[in-house]
Amino acid sequence: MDTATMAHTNVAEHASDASPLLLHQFDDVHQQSESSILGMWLFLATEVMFFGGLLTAFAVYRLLNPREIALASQNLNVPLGCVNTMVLLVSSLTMALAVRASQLGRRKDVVRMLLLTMIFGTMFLVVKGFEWRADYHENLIPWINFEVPHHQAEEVHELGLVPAKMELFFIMYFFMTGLHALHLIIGIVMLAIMAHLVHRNWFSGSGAVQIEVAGLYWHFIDIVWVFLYPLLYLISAH
Amino acid sequence: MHHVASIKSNLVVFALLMVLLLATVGASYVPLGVMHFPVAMVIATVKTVLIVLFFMHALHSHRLTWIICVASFLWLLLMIVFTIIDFLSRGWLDILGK
Repeated sequence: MDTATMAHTNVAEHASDASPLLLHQFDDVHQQSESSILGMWLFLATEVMFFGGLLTAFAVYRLLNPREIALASQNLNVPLGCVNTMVLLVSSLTMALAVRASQLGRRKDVVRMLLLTMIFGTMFLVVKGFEWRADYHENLIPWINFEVPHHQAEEVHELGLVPAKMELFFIMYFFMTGLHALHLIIGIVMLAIMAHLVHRNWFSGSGAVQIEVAGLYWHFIDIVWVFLYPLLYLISAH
Repeated sequence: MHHVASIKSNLVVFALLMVLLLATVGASYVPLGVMHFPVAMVIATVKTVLIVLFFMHALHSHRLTWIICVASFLWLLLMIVFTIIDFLSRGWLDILGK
């Protein structure tokens, strides 16, 4: 068989194997889905750098001002933070189950699990909102009403601590939790769109790759919180 | 084509994550002194590994995905460690004009 015929047979075989889902730049459906997943991981790598810059800054400030940061961090609500971590972990479980359902082509289950994930994500935001509200009432918002809490004023005075450095902790706390909340809001909107599309049967396939990619993003938000919770709430709690 | 994780394995991973969460909260009440930070970070890292391997399916994904995943955490580690080394070692050397 000469090369021309071989090439011809290959093309013919390829055409008969080709799934309607396959875009022409990919060899096969498997490579196509791997590419989507790899693309999301690359995006997440940039997100690691994004949050990583903040974490590095926090690490340095904590290293330079351990006592002020410790004292400031004691004003956060450890049990509420713990409940919120649980809520986010549950949302990761339901997200994983949504991905599983989409791999098995169970559309109703996908929509159900995505809705549950969105509900848990929203619950996290609501609890976070109440925490921020309490911070406002306790005068802990930098630039707006920050002052050293009364029960810590004596300690700050005795040890000669700098109130501005306690304020610095709250600047970083609001920046990091705020950025995390923003990611969560984007995630919830994305899941709403996905749930709608799956419900409408919009995807030519079962949407397994799309749901999986959305899931990667969601789990990443969870991982960010897994680090933020101990760093902000727990390290200097007691 | 894809490895489909069973519901049971998902639940087991979730249960482990919950146990580790309680462990990290519990550890913050134990007088560990300077060990608080390393303990908390080790637990958070174990949780991350569980999420990445099982919930994000890294365990059954392409080697290229592994490279991206490991590289991103490696670079983050480099950035944090080298920055901290810089700040810790300032003033160790007598440099004129400083």
